[in-house]
Amino acid sequence: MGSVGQIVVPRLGRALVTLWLVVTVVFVVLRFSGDPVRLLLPSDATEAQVQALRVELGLDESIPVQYGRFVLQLVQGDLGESLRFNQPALDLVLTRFPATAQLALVAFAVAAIVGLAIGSLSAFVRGSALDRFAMAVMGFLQAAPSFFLGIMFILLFSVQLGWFPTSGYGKPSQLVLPALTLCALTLASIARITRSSLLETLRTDYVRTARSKGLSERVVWSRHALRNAALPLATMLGLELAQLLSGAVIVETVFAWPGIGRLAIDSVAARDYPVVQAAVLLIASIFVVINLLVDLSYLVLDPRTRNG
Amino acid sequence: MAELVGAAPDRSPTGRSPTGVAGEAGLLGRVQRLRWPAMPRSVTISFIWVGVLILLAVLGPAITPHDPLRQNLMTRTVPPIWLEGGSWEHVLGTDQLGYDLLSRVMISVRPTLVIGVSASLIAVVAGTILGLVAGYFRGPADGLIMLLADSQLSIPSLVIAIAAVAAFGQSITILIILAGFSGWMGFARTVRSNVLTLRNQEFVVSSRALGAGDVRILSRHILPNIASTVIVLITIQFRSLILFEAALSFLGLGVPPPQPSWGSMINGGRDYLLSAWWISVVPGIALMLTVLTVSLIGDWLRDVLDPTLRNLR
Repeated sequence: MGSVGQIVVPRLGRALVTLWLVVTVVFVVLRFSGDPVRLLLPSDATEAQVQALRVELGLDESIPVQYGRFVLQLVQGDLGESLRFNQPALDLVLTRFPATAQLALVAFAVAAIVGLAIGSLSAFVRGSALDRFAMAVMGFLQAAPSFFLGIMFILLFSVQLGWFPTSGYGKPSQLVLPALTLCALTLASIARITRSSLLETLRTDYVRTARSKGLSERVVWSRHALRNAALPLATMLGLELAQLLSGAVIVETVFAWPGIGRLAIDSVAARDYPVVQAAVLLIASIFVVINLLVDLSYLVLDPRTRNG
Repeated sequence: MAELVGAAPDRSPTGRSPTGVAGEAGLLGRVQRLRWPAMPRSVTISFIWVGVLILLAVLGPAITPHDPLRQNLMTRTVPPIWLEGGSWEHVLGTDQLGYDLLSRVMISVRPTLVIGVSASLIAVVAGTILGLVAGYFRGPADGLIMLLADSQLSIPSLVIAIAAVAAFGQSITILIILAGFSGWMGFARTVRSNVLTLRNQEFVVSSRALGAGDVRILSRHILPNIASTVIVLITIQFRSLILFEAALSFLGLGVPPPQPSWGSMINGGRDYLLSAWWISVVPGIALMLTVLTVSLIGDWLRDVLDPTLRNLR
């Protein structure tokens, strides 16, 4: 029990430090980028109105006091009101969350399944023309910026072939192109890492032993190679999921997908600062939680780490 | 790595440090002594493309065929030369406002390279120094630096950039700072782990025994031995910083108008995909070519300088 605690506590600590870092960065950015009151009020507001709002928001206090209050409000889930829509910023962001989650999870599932399949196939036929072709395609996908890839997909599948709509939300057909775009980079990384992880495993002594004692190639792969290659893959999958969330911000903009990322970008343009802040904090928190879960998954997947 | 470390002393004036074989070898000497394999044609082409980009960044506005900032409503959405209706007047076509795409793609090179290079410099200098300190001195500084690096690695830098641009507005300076500080962690971690193995090697221990100070050991013995790794990392970093800038510009948060950039040009053509697809595709291809060539050069440098980095992206 003690050893598990020794592993969990530092990682939990790191996650908390990360969250604190995000909150502090957001606070610093917010407070040192100019007078928030000027952003909140119309430009023809009088000096008295400005002063009144400043007192109301507590901006006349010292920076440490403001910082303390900011953190306290966050802990209570109070992220301020949206300036455009008269509703709490956090509620607004949360109503957009399902769209982002749907997009990210579908893209992740496709990337994981297809990526693992292509990666193992490539490792199986290593050195062949098929392997080289697959890896070249993966290299291309890794070099293509998602926003440009999305536009190429629209040109090909919507404009030329007319298979899928260019944008929109609700129908399954409208999910295809955004999910395809979002999964491309992740799929390519998963395929490449699966391949190299498998190739590394195939060079180990225990695989050679398994072969030399006459096990069939199928058993060597399923019992020895794949299982041992799975550990680094599991870690990587988690990190890729976190990365996907970040990519969703861009893909949502390309396809007018009503998720958190698009809301954040629209809010920047509209200077709706509380919403930007809420969106940033929510995405970062999800990111941190996924990273923590990945760290902890080692405990389950690799018994060696449990005995520290 | 073995043949690199075993390199003979070079131009160093006297060789006062009797054991610092690798440590005394300057970077230039080491690079010259490498057995450079024949350069694949793809890498040669990549170097040519990057050379063209550097030329464009330097000459920039001086050599564009048209004024990139002047609209001309008479010549809107002219297609590129190889399509029906194209003209030599506008080789890569024009956009919906009659801007000449070739000229705009050309003058977008400068901000892209300036941001990429400056941000890489910030990342490499900050990351290397912090990595050296963490790996060489260990102790609480090491713990703190690694905690910061790990924490920042689990923050999506694009999202933080959105917040920062929302607050400070768009500017090239903000972009450089954001990009620079989103990239130091990779350098710090790799440098640290290299220093950890170097600091107890014989030539370092010997020169410490001879009374060499920390600064001398770090600069003469450790730094030259991690230089090739750092160079490889720079190419990887440079690539992702170019993509970072392009993504922000695409989102309307990057290079401020009226200065065009590939990212914002791609975004500008999105509404015209049906009628004038080249508005997005021309700058997109320029961006992809750049990313691809930098990757190819990076991969090649890695194979030459430090094959142990093969699994890094």
